[in-house]
Amino acid sequence: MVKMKKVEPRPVFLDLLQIRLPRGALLSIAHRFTGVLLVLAIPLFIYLLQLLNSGAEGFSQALSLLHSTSGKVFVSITVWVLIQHSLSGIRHLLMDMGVSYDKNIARITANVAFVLSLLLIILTGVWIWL
Amino acid sequence: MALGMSERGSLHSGLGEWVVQRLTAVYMLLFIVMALIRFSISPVSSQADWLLLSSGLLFQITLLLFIFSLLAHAWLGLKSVFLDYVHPWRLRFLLLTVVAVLLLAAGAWALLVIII
Repeated sequence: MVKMKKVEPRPVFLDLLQIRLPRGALLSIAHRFTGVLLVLAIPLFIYLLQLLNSGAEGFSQALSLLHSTSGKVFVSITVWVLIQHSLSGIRHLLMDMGVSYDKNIARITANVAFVLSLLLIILTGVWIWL
Repeated sequence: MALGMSERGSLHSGLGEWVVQRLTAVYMLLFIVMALIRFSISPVSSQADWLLLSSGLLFQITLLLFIFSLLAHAWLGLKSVFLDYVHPWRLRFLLLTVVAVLLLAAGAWALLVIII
């Protein structure tokens, strides 16, 4: 019987400061991260609906909550995260349809998603806060 | 199988999940766009506006579909995150169970809030 040579552990390179990820990979990570964050907003969203549906008092309470500073902070973070997640998600849908199989086009669409979400984030920020 | 725990892995339930993840995404995008259009045409500024909107059957059904899509989408997304990063199977099972219970509870809560 041939003795199996013990397999050497494969070298692992995990220096996060040295690794240069492609733009698409960064966007993919952003999609995951924002997705997990959005899950946390689900109970807040349902709670808001409950307030809105619970008579005149609850309705005005919901409105004043939304217009308070902490409410605005929550709303803007959720909206910004949602914008980022939606745009990277739309890019995923486009990739499913065969768009941006090409490496260069994939990089361009990733950049478009980043820039467009930044623009929308600024716009909604102005809309919410000014 | 449902928790990605089957011996065969999630390989055999993947295509269905892939489709569900995308269909729910498209539905939610459409709902959000329609809602934005609706709110910009006639803003909800008083409780009367809100009552008019929220008592409509169309709104209730599409909103419930939105929330169920959201929960299904969140379940599949969290599941793939856990499958990728949480390797000890007991911990993964625990996390997936907790998430499943919480999402189902959220669904029941939303149903009660919207219907009643």
